[in-house]
Amino acid sequence: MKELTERAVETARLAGADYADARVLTIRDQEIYVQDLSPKAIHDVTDAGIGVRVLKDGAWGFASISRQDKRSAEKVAREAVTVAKASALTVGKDRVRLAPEPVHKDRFETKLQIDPFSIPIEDKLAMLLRINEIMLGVKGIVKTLANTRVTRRHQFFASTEGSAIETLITTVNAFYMATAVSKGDSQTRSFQDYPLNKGWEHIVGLKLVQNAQRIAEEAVAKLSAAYPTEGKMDLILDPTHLSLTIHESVGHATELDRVLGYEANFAGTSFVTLDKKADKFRYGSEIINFVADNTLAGGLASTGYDDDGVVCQLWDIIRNGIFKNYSSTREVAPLAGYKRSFGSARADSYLSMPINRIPNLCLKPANKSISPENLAADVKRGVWIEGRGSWSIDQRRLNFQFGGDLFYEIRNGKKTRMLRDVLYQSITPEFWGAVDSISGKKYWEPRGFRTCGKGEPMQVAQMTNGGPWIRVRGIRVSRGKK
Amino acid sequence: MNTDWLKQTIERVAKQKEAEEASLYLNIENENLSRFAENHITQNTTRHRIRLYITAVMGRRRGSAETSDVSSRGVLSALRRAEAAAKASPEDPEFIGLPRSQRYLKIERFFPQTTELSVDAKARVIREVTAEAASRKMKAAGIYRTGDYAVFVANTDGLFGEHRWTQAEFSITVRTENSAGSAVAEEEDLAAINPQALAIEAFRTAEMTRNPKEIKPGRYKTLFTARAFSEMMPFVVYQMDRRAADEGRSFFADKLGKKILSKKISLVADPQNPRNPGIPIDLYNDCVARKEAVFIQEGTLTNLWCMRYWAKKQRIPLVSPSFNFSMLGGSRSLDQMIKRIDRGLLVMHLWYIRYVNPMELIFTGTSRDGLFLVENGKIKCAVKNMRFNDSPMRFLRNPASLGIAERRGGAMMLPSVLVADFNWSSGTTF
Repeated sequence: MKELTERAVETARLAGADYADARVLTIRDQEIYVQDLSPKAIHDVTDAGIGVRVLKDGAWGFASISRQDKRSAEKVAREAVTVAKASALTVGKDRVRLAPEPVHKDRFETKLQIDPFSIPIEDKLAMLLRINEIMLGVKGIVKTLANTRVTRRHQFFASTEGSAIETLITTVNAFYMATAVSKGDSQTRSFQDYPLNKGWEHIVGLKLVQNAQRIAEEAVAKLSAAYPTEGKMDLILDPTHLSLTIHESVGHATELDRVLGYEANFAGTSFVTLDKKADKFRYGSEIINFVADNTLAGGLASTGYDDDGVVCQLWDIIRNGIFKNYSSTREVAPLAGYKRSFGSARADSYLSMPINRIPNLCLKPANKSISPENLAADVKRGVWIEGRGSWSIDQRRLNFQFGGDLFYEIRNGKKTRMLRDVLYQSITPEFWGAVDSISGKKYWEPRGFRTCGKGEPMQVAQMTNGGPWIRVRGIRVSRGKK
Repeated sequence: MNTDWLKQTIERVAKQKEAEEASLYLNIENENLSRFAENHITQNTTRHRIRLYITAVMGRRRGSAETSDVSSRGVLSALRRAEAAAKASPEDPEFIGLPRSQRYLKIERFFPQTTELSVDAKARVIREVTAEAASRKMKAAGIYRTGDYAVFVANTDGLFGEHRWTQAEFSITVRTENSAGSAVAEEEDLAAINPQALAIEAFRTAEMTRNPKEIKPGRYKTLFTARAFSEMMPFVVYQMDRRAADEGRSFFADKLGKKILSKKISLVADPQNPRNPGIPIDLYNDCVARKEAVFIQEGTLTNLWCMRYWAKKQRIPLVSPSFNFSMLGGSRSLDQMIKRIDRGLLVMHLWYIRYVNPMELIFTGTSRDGLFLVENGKIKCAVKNMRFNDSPMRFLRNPASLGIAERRGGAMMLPSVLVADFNWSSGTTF
């Protein structure tokens, strides 16, 4: 496969490319999905191909094919140059200049203890069916879903600059959900995605079967829970819930390509404009520290190198509440004055051109051993939120509204009765500015996503957005009901 | 790849299979998408994609495999992996066997001229519209996409079919320092798309949305353009699942046969609609033939989509799920609809719509690229974007007026809709 990348890059160079890189990628994906006691899908995917990206006269061209042979490599390399020449008709003075990156010749592999593909399908199915059986045994549950997904991406990257990088990335996750019905009403509760770049040992550690009864009982309990009182109040947010708030209001907002307008037609732009870097923009309270860490063990964006061939790094996004840096690719980094890319270029397939993606973006825990209960102790009136529910944010990443999966009322420092259909709405810097306490390291969790959508054509990416529990003061709460 | 290839492959699979039955689904895509932003092309992606899905059936056990390798060796390898998955699976009590031979509707959606547009020709169009944007001191972003697509389906019980189509899409968003406008069209026939006219529409909206004013969130009479309405309706159709309704976990539970919306509302999924054609194969339902389905007839819920197993179990007709649907509109243009507003809002485009409460079909989302205050039948000014929390199932019970239906998203035919009140729940800063 290494030879194919070299052949593609050399063909592109001979066809006139000023720069070229090639990715020869084979994806193995196994998804098992069970609905109630019915095994609905046992799907085993092998997807292999070549993608070649070139710069010609300062403009990009990209071509790809679902084949891995010499002729196909040469074909798409030449086609990419033709496409780049067309792009060049429009670039004028806006020529692409890539941030420099040392030449890398390396291999990176996800560290794992148990190869998830070595676990027999029978065992995975038995586990999922057992989970659903337990949940269906809870009175009031009418529907259950459970799935596991394991993926391996084996990629060879080469560029005209001389880099040659092999990566072998393994990702695992599991999910299940129960739906309860009573008197014309319905509620769901889920054991939510917890993907990591690890082996099957991660799935074993999740204690999926042991939690099934609780998840189903909570779904039933939600049916008779009270609706929240509407108005401004304090929130206690768990790491699963918070991962989505981080993702939407900080992760996407600090993608440099969005800031520069490259996503204006679809995913949107960002309020974190370039002037905010120089102006020391206050993004949150002083206790807010976000780091991007693509070296995080098990992190979904911990791939050794990104799809620009840039080594994975650790950098500050927000320090003591002040905005510090964006995520970047080699293309956009120089446009914000960076001398080197932070390494956030990702493509979801050999068919896709890499774009600026959210890194493993994590909120640092407090140094103290503050527990979630400690956070609630100082709340007179508030809501305790676990898990992810409804979510939406405007296209500049300011006005957002989130729901959750499980809610409790907090009265005079105590977590009390269960609530349902809670929503909260805020404006990004106001929300992060209202965070006045964060739990300790013991309560920090590396939650994340495998299905972050962005780009045209749409691509999905994966990243970890870890965090602790937080307390936020005075947020507008409403009920998701007529 | 062609019909002969499919015939030979299914015959070979029939001979090589250890399973009792097998099915194939081949998906081919040849596409170029030129993407522009900041008034120049920023990405230009050509892809030649091929995916073969094989399902192996052993009694009530089944497994599937997908491969991009469609050589004889690749197909055999995928077949063996599908069989291994089937062997590993317990019996599926809900599996009812593969469908027999189907008679697919003949629907013409392939336009050779769509495939003939070169990357150079696309770049010249983009250069023209971005130069115009620059001359207006605006920044343009968008895409120009063309492609040809095909699906081939077959099984060892005699099912055999194919469908080919083309698609072209041009979309553009233009921005000034404090405003934006956008426009989009997606059709099978490239000739039905006019990029320059779409660009002018986006320029005009961006001019009109300069210096938006802030207004108080609240309930406003609201006019949705066909585009904005089409961004909301797929979330309704997705929930129209017969099984979910029968199991009591859907808004539509106990509503079949009942009048749930205004008499003005009829919702039909007909792949043969000449103004809104669609794929004749139901890819969600083991590739059975799609037929016309009337979901809402003059306000009465007449059908919900229904999968094969549930149809058989409940002894009801199978209704294919589809996002290729149409709603009859009225005869008024958007300008005529605006004239009917004493005080209200006109929303051009919606963004990030999500369910808030699926049982009540309440959605949230925000306006984008154009929210206008209308007074006395005229647009008074642009206003800052707002978030909404409301249900189309509420406002479609009594819409004030429906405009002319337009094709949107290359699959939907929907009108603009004027509603008496809509809940804009909070504001944003731009």
